[in-house]
Amino acid sequence: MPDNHIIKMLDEKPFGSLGDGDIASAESHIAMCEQCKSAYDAARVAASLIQARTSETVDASPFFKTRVMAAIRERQLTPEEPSLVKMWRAAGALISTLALLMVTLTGITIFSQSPDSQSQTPIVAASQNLYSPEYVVLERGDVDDDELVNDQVIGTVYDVEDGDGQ
Amino acid sequence: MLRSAKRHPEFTVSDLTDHDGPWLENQLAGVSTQRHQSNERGRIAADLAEKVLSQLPPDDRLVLMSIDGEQLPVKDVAEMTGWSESKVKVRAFRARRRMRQAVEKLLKRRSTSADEKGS
Repeated sequence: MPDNHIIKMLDEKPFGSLGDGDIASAESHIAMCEQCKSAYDAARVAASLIQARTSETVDASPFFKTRVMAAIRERQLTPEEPSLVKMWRAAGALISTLALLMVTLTGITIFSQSPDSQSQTPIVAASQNLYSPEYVVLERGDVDDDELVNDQVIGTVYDVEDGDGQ
Repeated sequence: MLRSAKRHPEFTVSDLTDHDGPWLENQLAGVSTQRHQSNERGRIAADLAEKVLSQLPPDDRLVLMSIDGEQLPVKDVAEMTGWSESKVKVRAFRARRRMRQAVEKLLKRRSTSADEKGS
């Protein structure tokens, strides 16, 4: 029965997934075909081997277990760090960067204000400080000086007139 | 060692341990699988499987163990390996054939050597 050889069927799908119909037709065929019988037996054994290999559980060696347990014990014995230290380790870089940035910005703010105030022109300063107490006092002083000068002039004039009248 | 022998290492009857032979014979005789459920039998079968599978290329082993062993769908194996589904199917087909042929050779040699011992 060369047309009904089952070898292709055996290779097409896993042996375990063959249906009852497939098994029945295969067994009826191998009763007459020696070539397919050896292929069928080999496929069955191969499937058993694969299943055995799959279901095999690998036990860890005692040496491996000892090493794992030693590592766990070592970790447990290591003293735990305080939470602040942990926090500093986690966010230390960020906090340092922020502090540095803050100091830089403060410095820039302080040093950038002084030259600006010095570089203002007198007109602008006068317009800005028109009603400031300093301006009023200074202006008043100038006026006083002027008045003093005028008084002197008037006194001098009257003295002269008095002198003329005498 | 010949280059062809290096490329396609063959598993010979002399490589079988004292336990492998009886296991194969029991399988062929169709002895109830429940008798083979013990750890000892399972270990022998796993060792023998490892010997046979070591003759196959790594890709074939992967496909065989995934589809026939773990019973994963072709689609999952295709995703896992990055191959197309048709490539996985072709690989599985060829891997099954290689595995079957390796076991077939082993069984034939085993029966031959048993006949020689008997005579």
